[in-house]
Amino acid sequence: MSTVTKVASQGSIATPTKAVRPFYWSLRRELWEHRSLFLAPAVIAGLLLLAVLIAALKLPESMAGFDTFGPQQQQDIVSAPYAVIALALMLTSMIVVLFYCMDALYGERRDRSVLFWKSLPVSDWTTVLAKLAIPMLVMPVFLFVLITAIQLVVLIGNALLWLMHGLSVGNLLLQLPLLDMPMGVAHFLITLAIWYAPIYAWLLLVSAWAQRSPVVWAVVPWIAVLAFERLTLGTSHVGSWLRERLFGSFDAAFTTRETMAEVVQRLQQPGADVTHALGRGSDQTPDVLRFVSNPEVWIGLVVAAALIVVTVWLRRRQESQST
Amino acid sequence: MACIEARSLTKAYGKHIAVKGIDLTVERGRIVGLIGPNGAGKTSALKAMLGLTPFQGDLKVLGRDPWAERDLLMQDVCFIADVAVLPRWLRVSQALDYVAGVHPRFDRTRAERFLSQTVIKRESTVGALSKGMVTQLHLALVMAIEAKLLVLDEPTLGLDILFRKQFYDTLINDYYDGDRTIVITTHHAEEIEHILTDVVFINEGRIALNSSMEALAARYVEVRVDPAQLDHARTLKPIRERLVFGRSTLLFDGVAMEALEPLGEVRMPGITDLFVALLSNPPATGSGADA
Repeated sequence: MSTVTKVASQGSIATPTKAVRPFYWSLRRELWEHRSLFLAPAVIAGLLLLAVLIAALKLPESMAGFDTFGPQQQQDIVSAPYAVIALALMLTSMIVVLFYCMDALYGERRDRSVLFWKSLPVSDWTTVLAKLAIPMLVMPVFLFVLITAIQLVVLIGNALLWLMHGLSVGNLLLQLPLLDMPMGVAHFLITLAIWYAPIYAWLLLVSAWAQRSPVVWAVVPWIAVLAFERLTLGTSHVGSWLRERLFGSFDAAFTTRETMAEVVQRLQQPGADVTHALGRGSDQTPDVLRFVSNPEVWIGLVVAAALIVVTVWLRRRQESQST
Repeated sequence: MACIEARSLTKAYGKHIAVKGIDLTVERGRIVGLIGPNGAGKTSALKAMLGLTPFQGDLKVLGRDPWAERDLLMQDVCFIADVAVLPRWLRVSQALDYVAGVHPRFDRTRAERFLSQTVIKRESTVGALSKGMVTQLHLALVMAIEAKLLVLDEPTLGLDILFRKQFYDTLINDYYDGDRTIVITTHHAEEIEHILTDVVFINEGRIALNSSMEALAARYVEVRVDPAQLDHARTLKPIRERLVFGRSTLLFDGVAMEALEPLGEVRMPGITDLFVALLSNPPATGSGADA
């Protein structure tokens, strides 16, 4: 303690220290550097709006008898675009986010700007957690706002179209799951972030470790492990675990996996009625209990935490090599 | 308390030992030049002091262990590693925002004032600036931080001579206040010797000389010897002899001024000459003079 006071009193100019927000500004830094995180989903959202507009112009003939259709058919028809919008935007941002993670700690080493970032009073934990917060917190929030906003625009356009054609707007709103839709999107975004946490953490680790081509390092070791397991044990536990982790997020978050499997199957058939199929798939009910009682969820989080510890360890040693 | 205190500081990369047990004390208010050839261990020693690499031995910078407390240490320490480390995508305004947002001792108005003396635009990205401008920007950021220790590792690498001169002028006139400590490594030793208070020679991971500039001037003397006096001069055991424009120039270690003045033109040797002399002919004391 006496040393601390001594150090403090040694400064000839006693500067009152300002309040600082290293975590907040580390997030800002990520968004300055990786603008595609926002731009790519925004561009796709614009394209989707355009597509919906074109579809609306073609719509009228088939819509004339809408009010006479059965409720299930009505619901299928009107809710389909909302599901397509949500899925397309999630898929886009998922791809952008995976590439973000692989570059997050690699880019700063490649251009050696890590020396600049490390010359500032920001800990390696703060830096790595800020980078993890992009896929885990920032993107889900951004996506929720974007998806909901686009869906709202489509809904207003939809209602106007119905008015123009003298169809019942009341009936339209009745057939749309107006509250369930945003709830479902929020539920899926949150559970997806948690489900993918070990994947994000693994990619961050690779980006902190790879000397070059993080993409190769992110994928190739798994191929090796899969082949090794197949050849030595004749099993494919790692493979099924990976498949479950990569594609099982919907199953983990929603109850009706059978319905979804049926939807996927129908989509794969030649000449599938995509609109109808997706309409069927969009009425899944979020199931929080199912998600939190799944041990895979918690195992994933523990693995992610361990990977992040290693990532911080690596970040701390960056630029410590002999040059 | 000293600004930097190292006891048997050692840094090994596998089997290669870059720093071989350095003892070094840098007091506050000094401007220290760390001079040595490539691979001498300068950068490794600096990295240890900046918390960028683990090390063996005892090392305290401003009373802290750099490896354990890098983030806290960086509130009081600034460093410029070389001109290429500001990321190309960063805008000037973002650089100001960021440093202001994370550094408790950053004075933004001071940085803005310094930048207004340059042609650097706020909306430019680093990638659009010339090498010299990037250094100016980095210097503007660093000079606006109330740091106790500034470490410059080849700060003017790749800059033309005008920028280099301006860089050190700014550093001495606008930054150094007699209380701050500056540690500089550079290949252009002759450009900084007039601003140094101390010089440390490092070679093969060891300190070959550690001396204040006054002590250096008192101890080492270079004489352009009159040809007639050459044989006599050689009996005084010069540590190095070379020819400059056909005249022998001898470097003496610890020989009294009265004995040297009659021999010819007497002057203080340049750091570079001294470095070459000492490394090709290490002083008898082994560890060199003490400051």
